[in-house]
Amino acid sequence: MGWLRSIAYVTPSSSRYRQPWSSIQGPRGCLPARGGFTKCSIRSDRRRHRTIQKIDSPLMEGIECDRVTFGYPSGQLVLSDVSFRLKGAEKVALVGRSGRKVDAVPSLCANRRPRCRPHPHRRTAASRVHPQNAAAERLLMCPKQPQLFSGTIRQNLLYANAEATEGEMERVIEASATLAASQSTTSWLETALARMRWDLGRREAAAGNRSRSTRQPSVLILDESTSALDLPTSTRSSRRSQPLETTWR
Amino acid sequence: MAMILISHRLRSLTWVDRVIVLDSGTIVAEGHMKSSSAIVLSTRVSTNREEG
Repeated sequence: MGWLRSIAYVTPSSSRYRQPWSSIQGPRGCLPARGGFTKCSIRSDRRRHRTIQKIDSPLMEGIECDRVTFGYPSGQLVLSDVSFRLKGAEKVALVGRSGRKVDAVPSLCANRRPRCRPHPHRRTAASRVHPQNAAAERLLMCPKQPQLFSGTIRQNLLYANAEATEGEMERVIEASATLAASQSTTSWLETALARMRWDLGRREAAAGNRSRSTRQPSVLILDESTSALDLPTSTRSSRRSQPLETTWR
Repeated sequence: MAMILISHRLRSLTWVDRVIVLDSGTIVAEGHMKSSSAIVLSTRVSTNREEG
């Protein structure tokens, strides 16, 4: 059994997120709190098949995995003694053979079990009720299968934030790496998905833009979110996955 | 903003800071694509694909 640790900011307003976790022992060998930072921990309990998360603040700075082991009750081992650290603006790629649960680490970080990929914007009842899930809220995971509904791009973006202004939506569209040069931003916004019959690559691009515009995450996880795009476009799209300067929250 | 990329295409990862190769739930290789370790990383992933 190991620990998934994340460094979190401490703010006065974060005190309401502190939970009585006295029954859960803290991780050993944690990084000492420095400045305005403290720790947030996720414990993967292999035997009980659950992930326990301890949080002091909703704002996170990075992720640290220290000898994490995770498996299913059936005996299938998903992770075995995995350790790595992701801090600041570092970009880390996890690669491996298909079916080897490469996405297990970020799934656990996002407080989701491996192979469980819900809608990135859908807040479950649990995440609303339990504030300890706020750490996962700072982790944005773009899944492999984009989920858009029929309607225009504008409607899809408004689904992410109903109070978005016209300028903010245009900024999101301009950040898209797959926007056709001959297509204006306005016409792209008014494009009806059902009528266009987009391929998977286009849908991935639209879903990625919507994800990034929903909130400004501390850690962005792209789970093969551009796998349907060609190599140059996929690379360009991933590299441009920077937080957008919007007022959206 | 930190970023974790999950991908099966090594050639699209030349711009990331670090590449971690996972196999059977363990880290089997780690390094940067621009360094000499890229050959090791490519070999690891290629071998995995051939086995699969």
